[in-house]
Amino acid sequence: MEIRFEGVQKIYPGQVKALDGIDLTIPVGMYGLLGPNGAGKTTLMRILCTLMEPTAGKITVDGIDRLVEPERVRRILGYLPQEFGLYRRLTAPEYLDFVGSMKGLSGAERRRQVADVLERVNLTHERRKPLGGYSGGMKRRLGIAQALLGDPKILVVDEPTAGLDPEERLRFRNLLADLSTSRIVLLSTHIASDIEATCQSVAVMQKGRVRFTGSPTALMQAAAGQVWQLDLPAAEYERVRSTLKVVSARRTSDAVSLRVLAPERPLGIGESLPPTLEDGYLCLTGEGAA
Amino acid sequence: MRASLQMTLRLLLRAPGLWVVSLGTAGLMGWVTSGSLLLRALQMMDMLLIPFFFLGQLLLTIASSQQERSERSEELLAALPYPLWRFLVGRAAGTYLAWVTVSLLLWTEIGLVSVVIGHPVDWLFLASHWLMAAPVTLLFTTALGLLLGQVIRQPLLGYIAGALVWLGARIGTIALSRDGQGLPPLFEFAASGLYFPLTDHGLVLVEASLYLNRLYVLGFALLLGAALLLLRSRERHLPTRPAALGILLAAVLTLGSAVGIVRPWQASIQAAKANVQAMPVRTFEDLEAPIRQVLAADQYQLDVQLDPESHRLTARGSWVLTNVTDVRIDQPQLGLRQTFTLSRLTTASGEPVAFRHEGNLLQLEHPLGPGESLSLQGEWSGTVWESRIKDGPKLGAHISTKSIVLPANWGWYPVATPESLPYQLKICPVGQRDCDPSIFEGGPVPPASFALSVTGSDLNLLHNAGERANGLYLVGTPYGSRQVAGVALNLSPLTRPYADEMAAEYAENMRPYLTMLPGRDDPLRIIEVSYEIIWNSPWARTAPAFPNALLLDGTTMGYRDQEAEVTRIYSLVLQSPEQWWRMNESHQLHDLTQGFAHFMYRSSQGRWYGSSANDPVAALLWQVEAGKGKETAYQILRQMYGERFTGRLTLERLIQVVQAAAGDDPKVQAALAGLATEGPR
Repeated sequence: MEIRFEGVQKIYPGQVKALDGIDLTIPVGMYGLLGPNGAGKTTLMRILCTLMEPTAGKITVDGIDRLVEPERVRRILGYLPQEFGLYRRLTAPEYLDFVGSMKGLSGAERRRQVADVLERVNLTHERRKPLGGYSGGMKRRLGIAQALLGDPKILVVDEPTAGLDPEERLRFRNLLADLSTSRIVLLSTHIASDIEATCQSVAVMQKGRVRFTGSPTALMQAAAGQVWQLDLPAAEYERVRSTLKVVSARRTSDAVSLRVLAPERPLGIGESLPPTLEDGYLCLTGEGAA
Repeated sequence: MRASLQMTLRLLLRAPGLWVVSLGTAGLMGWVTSGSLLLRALQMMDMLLIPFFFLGQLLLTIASSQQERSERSEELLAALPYPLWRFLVGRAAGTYLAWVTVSLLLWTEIGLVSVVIGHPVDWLFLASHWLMAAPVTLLFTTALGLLLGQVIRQPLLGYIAGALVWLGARIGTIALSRDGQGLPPLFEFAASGLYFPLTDHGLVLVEASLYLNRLYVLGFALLLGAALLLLRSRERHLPTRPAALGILLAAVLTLGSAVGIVRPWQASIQAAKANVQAMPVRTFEDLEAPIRQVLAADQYQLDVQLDPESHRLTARGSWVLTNVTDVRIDQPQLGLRQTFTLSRLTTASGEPVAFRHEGNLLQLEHPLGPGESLSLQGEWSGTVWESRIKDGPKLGAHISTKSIVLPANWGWYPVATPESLPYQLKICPVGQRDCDPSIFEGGPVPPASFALSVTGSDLNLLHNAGERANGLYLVGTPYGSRQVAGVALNLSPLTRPYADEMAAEYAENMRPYLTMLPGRDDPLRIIEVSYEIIWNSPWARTAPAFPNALLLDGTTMGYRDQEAEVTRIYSLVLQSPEQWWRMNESHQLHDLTQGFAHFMYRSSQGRWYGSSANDPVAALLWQVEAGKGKETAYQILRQMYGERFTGRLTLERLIQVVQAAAGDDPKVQAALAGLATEGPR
């Protein structure tokens, strides 16, 4: 089973090119879609989820032509959008029961699955609470729960960890990792550490194009030999900062400790560091403070 | 579809809006029905509650739709394998079902109250409203609410738009209506509920066209629903062709059914124009001439059965109709309010007289030659529902909690109205005001002979000939005559709370005097009468309506509708003996009874009113009380009170009574001597 994008284009009114010939194959497992805001990740996902039509290109989902048979695609797909609301006055079981019905689940099987997904997202104890009283993390978990109803072969999650506290974020990553053992989980994010912790494969998007596909390790290697640590006096740092591509900067009282991307030892004094996924990503996209 | 319907119902039942509107409507209904004013409740349900209910439903639907949109509540559902139209239909159906259920419950409540109280109800009409009119209108407001909630992002703007559509449509309907020509088709969808409880059957549709074509409203609702589907389909980049097709079909249904309204409407206008065109020129001259009497109805002998509790009137009787013109009238026309059903009409010999009773017009199929008379006998009955009160001499009957007041020109018996001859001769155009028999301009011609027997209620029959509102008034109450110690007139329904308050205050003020005079167990009852009815009231000029009753001057009270004036009214009553004793035919009698009133004031209040200590009659009685005690003085007063209708309420009789009761008291003797010499004042 795989998802295949071939030459997918999306041009919004006003000739705004959101996707510019996307070619991508996504296998079973957790697949990361990494890119800065505005890279086209959400557009690609909404097209995949049949919420939007591409301007050109072809998409097949487990052999189904997405453009020809969108309804069949919907039946094997669970989607968690970046922003969504819930019906405040319903409880989680009621809401899931409603979604289950819309997914065509009937009677006992629907009730079984509702109880099951509630358990999986750890919301069983909150089942009597109206959704209006849920925290951001609980809402995300309920969003995943509704996506899981019907046991979809493909799970599409768009920026799922945005706005979550570290504990919730960790819990959410683990949940997604568990779910990816038997299905495609397409995770869109602009946070590299989410990908690093969970994905077997990753694609980097920028300005509507795919800049990289491969494993997170391979993405890391894109920055091999280009990551340096510099310790500079504060005054010196202010003088040279515009010439450096800084990944991070940690200030002490009179000095600055820098993590810098550069093809060669910067200022002739840097110390080489092993790359991270974020380094690889920034190296690839050319992002980072300069 | 079931899933979204069920979910919508859950949401609605847990939101406060549905309950607020429902309880608010029920509360309003309870408020207007207090005092068993079912009639008013029915009317208010039409005029106030139904718009309140529909508007409330519309605004709340807009609000919930807007909220769900702003909170992206449907974002999670967008990618589900579920057709959009089924989701939308389910949502609309859920919203609709919740509200239509409440609507049906409210109308059931109205129906049950009618049954419990015993009013006749036209169940067929009510059923048609429950099952057709209200549900279809709700379908329209539901679709409109969902659509406005989707297209207008700002809540306040949404409410304003909803209110404008709703109220604007109603106002437009009224504005574009043609008097007597029926409703124009435009905005017809929003005019539901405009009917009045006027007939014997309880409810009648005034604008009959409202319910003739519910397809028109249904078409509007479907049009809005299809527009919503189109909008949402475009948003989701789904095919829009089905929605567009829906819009097309709904438009066809709307326009097609509108034809069913437009054509009769246009036809009625055309008919009116044709009538005008066909009129002989001379009839215009006739129309401009002063309206003169054409028919005279006289020698009434009526037996009336009144039931003030249920506001029923059943009457039978005879009268004589005369053609007072020099031309033959083929179909003489009388006025009889549409409230009543004429069940029998014969000549004096028992020969049936064919008639048509449409609206307030009673048309006899019996020609009358010049100067010819016809003796008629008939039976009619009806429930006198509360009617809209009109200004001026065009009076309407108004029903209080426990009374019936029927001005003659309201048409509670077959009356000959001063209609123009052209009308009687059938050469009047439709819609010509002067020719409309339902407008009893000037009231009926007062009959010279009118005999009436009434059973079932206390009776008051008054004649006010010569005034603008001339004719016969019939008032029925369930009280025995001795129970009724006061009748306050000139009080419109709007001043009812004031009237009750005034009655209580008045009763309290009168309490000290009650022991002085007999027949005052129940000091004052308010019979609620709109002041228009007794414009130029005949009450003060006629014999006492209720023996032993204190009859206030209605006109006086009617113009004292400010609370600050209440005391002045009391003062008028207490200071003016004629208000208390109601015998003021002569100056001497006036002075005498005024003296009684001054004494009553002194005895009860412990002080003289103004300079009334100089009143010799009051001073005499006060000497009796001082020398012989209150009871002796009061007994004299009661004896004099008993003389009111014997013709012996005179100074001489007073002196005689006082001599007998307290003549041995020297101070009383002195007062008597002074009174005999100087007179009462």
